[in-house]
Amino acid sequence: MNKRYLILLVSFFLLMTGASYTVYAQQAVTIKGRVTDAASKDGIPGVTIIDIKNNKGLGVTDPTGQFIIKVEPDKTIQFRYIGYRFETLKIGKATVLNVTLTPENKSLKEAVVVGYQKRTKETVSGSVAVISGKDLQDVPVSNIQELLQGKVAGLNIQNNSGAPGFRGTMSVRGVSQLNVSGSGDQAYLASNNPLLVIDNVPVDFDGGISQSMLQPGAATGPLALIPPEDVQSIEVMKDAQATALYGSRGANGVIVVTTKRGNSPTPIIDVNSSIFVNFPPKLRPTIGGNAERRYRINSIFMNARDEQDVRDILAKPETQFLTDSLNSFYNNSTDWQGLFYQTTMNTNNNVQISGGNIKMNYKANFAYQMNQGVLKNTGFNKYSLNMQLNMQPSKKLRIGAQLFSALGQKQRGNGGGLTDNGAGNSFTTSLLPGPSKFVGNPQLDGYENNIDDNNTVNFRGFVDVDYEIINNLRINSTTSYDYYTDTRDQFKMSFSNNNATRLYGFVGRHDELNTRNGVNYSYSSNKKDLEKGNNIYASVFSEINIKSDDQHVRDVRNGPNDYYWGPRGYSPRFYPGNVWNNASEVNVNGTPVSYVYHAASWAGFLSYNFRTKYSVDLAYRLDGSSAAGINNPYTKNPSVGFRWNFNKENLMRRLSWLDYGSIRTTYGVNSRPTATILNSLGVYKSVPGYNNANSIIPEFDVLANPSMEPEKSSQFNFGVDLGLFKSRVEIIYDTYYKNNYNLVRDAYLPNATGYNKMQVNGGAIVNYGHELSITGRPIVHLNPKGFQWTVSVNGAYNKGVLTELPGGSQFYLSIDDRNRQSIALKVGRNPQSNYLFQTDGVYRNTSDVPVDPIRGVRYKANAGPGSQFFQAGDPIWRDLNGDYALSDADYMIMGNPEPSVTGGFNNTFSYQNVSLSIFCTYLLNRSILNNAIAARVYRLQAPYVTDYTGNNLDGPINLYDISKLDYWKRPGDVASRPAIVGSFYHDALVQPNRLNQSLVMEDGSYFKINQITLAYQFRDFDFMRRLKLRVLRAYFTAYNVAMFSNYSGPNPETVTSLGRDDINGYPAASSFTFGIGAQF
Amino acid sequence: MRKWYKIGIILFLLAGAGACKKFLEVKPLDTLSGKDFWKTKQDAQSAINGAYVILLNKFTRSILYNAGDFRPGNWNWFGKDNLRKLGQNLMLNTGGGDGADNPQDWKEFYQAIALANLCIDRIPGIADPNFGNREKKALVAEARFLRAFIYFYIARMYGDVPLQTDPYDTKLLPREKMLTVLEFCLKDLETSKADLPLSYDDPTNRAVRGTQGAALALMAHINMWAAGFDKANEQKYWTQTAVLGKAIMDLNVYKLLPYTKETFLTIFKGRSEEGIFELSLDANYGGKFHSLICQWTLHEPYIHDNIGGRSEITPMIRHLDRIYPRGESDKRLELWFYNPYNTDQTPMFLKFSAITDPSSRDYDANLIFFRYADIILLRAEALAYLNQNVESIKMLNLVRDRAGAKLYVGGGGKPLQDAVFLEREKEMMGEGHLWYDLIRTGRISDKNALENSLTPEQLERGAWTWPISGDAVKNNPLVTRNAYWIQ
Repeated sequence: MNKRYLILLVSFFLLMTGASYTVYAQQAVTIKGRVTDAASKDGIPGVTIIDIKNNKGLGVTDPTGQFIIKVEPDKTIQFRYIGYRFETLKIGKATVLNVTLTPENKSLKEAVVVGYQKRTKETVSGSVAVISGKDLQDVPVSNIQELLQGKVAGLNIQNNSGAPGFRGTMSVRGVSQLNVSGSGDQAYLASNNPLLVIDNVPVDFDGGISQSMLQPGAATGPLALIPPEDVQSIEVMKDAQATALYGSRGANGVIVVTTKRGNSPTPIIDVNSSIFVNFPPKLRPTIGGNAERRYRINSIFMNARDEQDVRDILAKPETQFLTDSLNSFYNNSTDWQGLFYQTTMNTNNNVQISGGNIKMNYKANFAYQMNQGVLKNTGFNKYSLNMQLNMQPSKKLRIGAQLFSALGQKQRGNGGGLTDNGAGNSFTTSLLPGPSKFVGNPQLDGYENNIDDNNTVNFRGFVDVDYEIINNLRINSTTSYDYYTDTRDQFKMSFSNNNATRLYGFVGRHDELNTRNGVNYSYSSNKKDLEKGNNIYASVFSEINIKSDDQHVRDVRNGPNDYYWGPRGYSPRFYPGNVWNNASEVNVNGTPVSYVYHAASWAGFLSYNFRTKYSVDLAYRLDGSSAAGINNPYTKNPSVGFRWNFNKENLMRRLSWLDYGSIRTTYGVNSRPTATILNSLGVYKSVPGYNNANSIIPEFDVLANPSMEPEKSSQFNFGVDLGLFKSRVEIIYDTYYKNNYNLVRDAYLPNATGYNKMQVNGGAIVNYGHELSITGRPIVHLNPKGFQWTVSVNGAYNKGVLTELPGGSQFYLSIDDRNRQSIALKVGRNPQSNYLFQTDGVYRNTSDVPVDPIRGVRYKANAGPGSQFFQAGDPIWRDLNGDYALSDADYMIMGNPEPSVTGGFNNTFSYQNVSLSIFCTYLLNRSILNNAIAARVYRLQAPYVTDYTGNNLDGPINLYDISKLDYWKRPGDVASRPAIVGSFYHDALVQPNRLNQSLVMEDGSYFKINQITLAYQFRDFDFMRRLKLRVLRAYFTAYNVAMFSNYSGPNPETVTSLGRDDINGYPAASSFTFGIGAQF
Repeated sequence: MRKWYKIGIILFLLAGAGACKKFLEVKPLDTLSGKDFWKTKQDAQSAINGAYVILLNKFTRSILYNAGDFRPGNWNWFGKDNLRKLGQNLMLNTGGGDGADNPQDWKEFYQAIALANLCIDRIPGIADPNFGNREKKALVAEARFLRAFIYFYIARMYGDVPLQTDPYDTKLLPREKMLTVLEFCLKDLETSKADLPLSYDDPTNRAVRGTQGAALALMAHINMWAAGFDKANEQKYWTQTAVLGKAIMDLNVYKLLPYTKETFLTIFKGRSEEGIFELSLDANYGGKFHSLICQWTLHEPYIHDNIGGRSEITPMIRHLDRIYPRGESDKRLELWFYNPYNTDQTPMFLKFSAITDPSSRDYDANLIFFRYADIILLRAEALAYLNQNVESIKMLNLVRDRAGAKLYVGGGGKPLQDAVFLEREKEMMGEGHLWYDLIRTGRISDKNALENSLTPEQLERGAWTWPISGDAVKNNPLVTRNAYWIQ
């Protein structure tokens, strides 16, 4: 009975896979032999023997290098061992095979794609890090970027939002920007996005989001749409030489993603399927119910002026109910925070079909992921299909084509995606009953019912033709077209939007045509062995890039009904896309206005190496772009690099412990276009006419600057690569000095020019640092099934220094009107600093407050008339100018939102069929402003405010659990925090718990366990043979496992790029995944 | 051969990128950039109009137009505290009501100047076949006229002002001496005035755009203002004014319209034959204005006043009696004043009463800066100083005659000068001239002529000016504020 079922199932699978299998005519024979090292003639144990056609293991050599395998005589087999060149043999009649393997360093022979050219790593002088696609599996994240965290030294990724479909910040070698957008908790640094190249096609990092601020529009970027299962490798290029050929967009580094290609004579079907559960994080500590009532009433009693004052306060409509504890309507303990979160069950599926040989190969990858967010009404679904076909009809001609299509569907719920999610603010007091059939809560209802659907449709195709026209001389042409449609449909019901419905629709079209034509020439005086000849590689190409972004917005308010989502027409009054109303080029919804961009570039590259020992790389690229100032549309990007593989020197060859060793040094200049036609030529706008005639005036906000130049960066890099003890230890070290100059800043003009500001070049930031990656294999068992341990650690130290501001100014303060947490730009310090009052403790007693010896009065909280003298329980704010009054002059530059050190720490263990990998990341020395807690503590001084709106004390209404705080309670207390409430009237002026003080600033160092994966590889099971399963593995992954930090907020990573912890930020969810991967 | 053919293909491919600079010049999808502007005659015209709009907006956002009437303080203010502060020279305490502190910011004036500078720079280069040389010259001259007008206006407000004449200059400029600025304007007008049209074919443009007459009137005003500050050259300035005044009269474009109950309103509605330079404000064209004198000097049934048929400010009887001696008939007293001698809030000043909407108290008459009667009296004043008494009296009596007042028969010298001044005070009441006339003639220290008289010491320290807002100093350390207002 059972067996019959199994047969049925097998036949079903056979039908499914569509593969037909013939019975083997050949009889397997037994083959014996020995594998030896070519130099030492010693036997090599643990060499894997593989049947190439079926990609299946046949056996392993024993400790003396001997092997016995059973195989059909017509098979081709391969001997593989780490650190040796693979040896492929066709089995003829022989029954005894003696094989010699020659040592070779794989990591140097690895092909990398630099400047659109495939080269072996050992001749590349630039700093290139490679991440294998294998390291990006087993965890279904919504954006592959999350998985790159901690994998490459110098690539700093902070997943500062857990919102599905969105992404965090990414920067290569420190910040290279000075501009800040947003304010308060939501102040963001302009992006430092590297250039993204997918399968040799440069694409926009954010797809349709051209907004650099991380408050994105409808669009979903390309990295979120690529399934990790389809990734072959990701290369990260950090220095100027590696990025030189990418021209004007390479100044922030380049990330090259290569997807898988077919490479198997028999078709391979890979199926990967997993289910995963997202768990909300720990909620913020809150007191509710009776504790809340007690706190509020006690606080009012303690801090009011007198009894009459208490009566007055408690008689207000919004506080009256506090005293009504017998009324069951007002006697609840509702957990509002929890109402916004959910645990979700999701799924991730990927099927890949591939096959072919070098003459023709194909691949199709289909992926589907459903990822519901831990905040209600948010989530991300994606579907993608990536098809690739490569042909080589003759030796001279190669043709490749690819079509990628994807649909990303994002639900943003009530928030902006990254911020403003509302769940951090519990909207009302816990004393009120929770939402039920009879009692609604407008905010929560709106939160659950408001619609915000964002769809991105992406098509990207390319055709690549390469033809050898004369010996060694190939011409090639690559053309790609990338197209996005982004739509957003948002509808807010009237009760959640100030009593007016709001229908907002957005359509964005973004397309990019890129075509590259070139010639390349390669010559070697000794083709057989490059290590014995002079090798030259040269190429010249031109590149044309045409990009446009066309955005339309409709915004209709005051609709007739909460269920009538219309009319979807045009509302001239609230039409934010209307550029005439839009002074800053950015409409009110944060999406930029449409643009067209043209670029034409010419590049030349020459690489020469002598016996692959000494290499020289020279590159030059000239970029013309419509985004440069009209007076100088061209920018030059030259670079030079040297590499010395010193292990190839005869002297070094004798060192048996040295596998390889090389020294690299490069220098180059990159640029980044920043001007737009608008800031180089000015904008004119129509205004109400004069005397009934048309009137047009310039946009007086920005004066055109026709001589604007691109931002530039020059970079020096020095690196060492070392492989020691037969690949047991591999070390990569890089040090760099990168000068970002010509940075564009707003220069404010005297108002007698009529204009407000002009964008000028003149800012400069220097970044320098060290990067170190060490991979070690402390335990290598000769038998691949034995216990193996690989550990890799990487770390990058980066220091940024602001070296120049336009016009020779030394200091610039970008004032934060909301929290007074301004950002200081001071030449000679880190690019951005906080600007706060220094808190030196808490006054234990009023007698501790310093007294002005001249006037005999205490230090007070304000300069000028009016007096609120400091008293016991107030923070000791440093009086920098010694005038015994706290004023603007007492602000201090402090802190640095950029981390000093970032890195990763990874371990992989395997034994028999089980493998365990643990990926960790860490960050050291970063200042975070813990506004999430500070705002809630600040709010505690107003116990009488019970509704979120209608007061000026920003912050959530739920009460912070003060028992967790070490605050001053009575005279004589030694406490780290000031009194929560001194007295209402005192605090109004002194604001002991204000946000603009160093008390709020904390160190955000952390160590995070990103991912733990336990996998089981099924081997040699009977059912696998019957199901024709080549590979079957099952895995369990825990993602976002733990965060170790002294930071008092919930998560030091989910803060903005300027280190502001926004209580309404989207928290990072933890997830548990169970998945199966199978290969047929 | 074949090899060369192949190499040819390669070179073609590489060059195919199109080394063309045109490719790099793109057009924004939805924005009008500087590249696409300044192409046609229409663009030039729109830009000039834009400069007028900016200037007009500056006036419609504040009480600036009537500040010249209010600052002498010759009104009963009742509840209008912000205006009372103007009339007491407490300029820093006016508050923002009715835009009373808006004139302290000169930004918009400079925006209009920047646009005029752009017009002067860009219009000659426009290659539009329909745009003839004469038309270009006329538009450039119009831009120069407008620029000079603004400089004249702000010099009277702030004294020394930065002189911006290059649209692309972002250098920090200090405040230039007022007389240097005025001299620059006079020269500029002298060379360009001939390019301006005498009048426009389109009747709607009458008086509301630059003309030769307007340029001459501006020059006359600049001369008279300069004469008040440059005592050494006052003879020269007076002579100039007299000559310019004559030139305007000789243009034969303007005439004095009769003062009757029916017709006087059309003069002050604007665009009349008497108007020389005005800013157009017409409800039919979407323009209307709030903070003008009539809002406070009228009540029901003209406008809805909210306080039971009472005016918010009324003329002081003391000053009415000074300029209109009791018993002497004058059509202006009869036509323009309602109940003038009542001491309650019922009196009205009716000179401006083109109300478009009584309930929102909006008004849509042009802002009149130069008027024929104004120029005649200016000429009379200059002639009086120059002792050309016969001609001066003739001018004076042209205006008195039209108003039905008895003709001046006195002699020259001081009595004539006083008579001409009184006549200007009467004739130009509500048109924003009095304060400036008082300053330039030195009568500002005369306690009888105004409530808000200034001592010579106060004058010296710039008490007659407006305070300059902090924004002007913010990004330019070279700009200093007027001494009187910063202590």
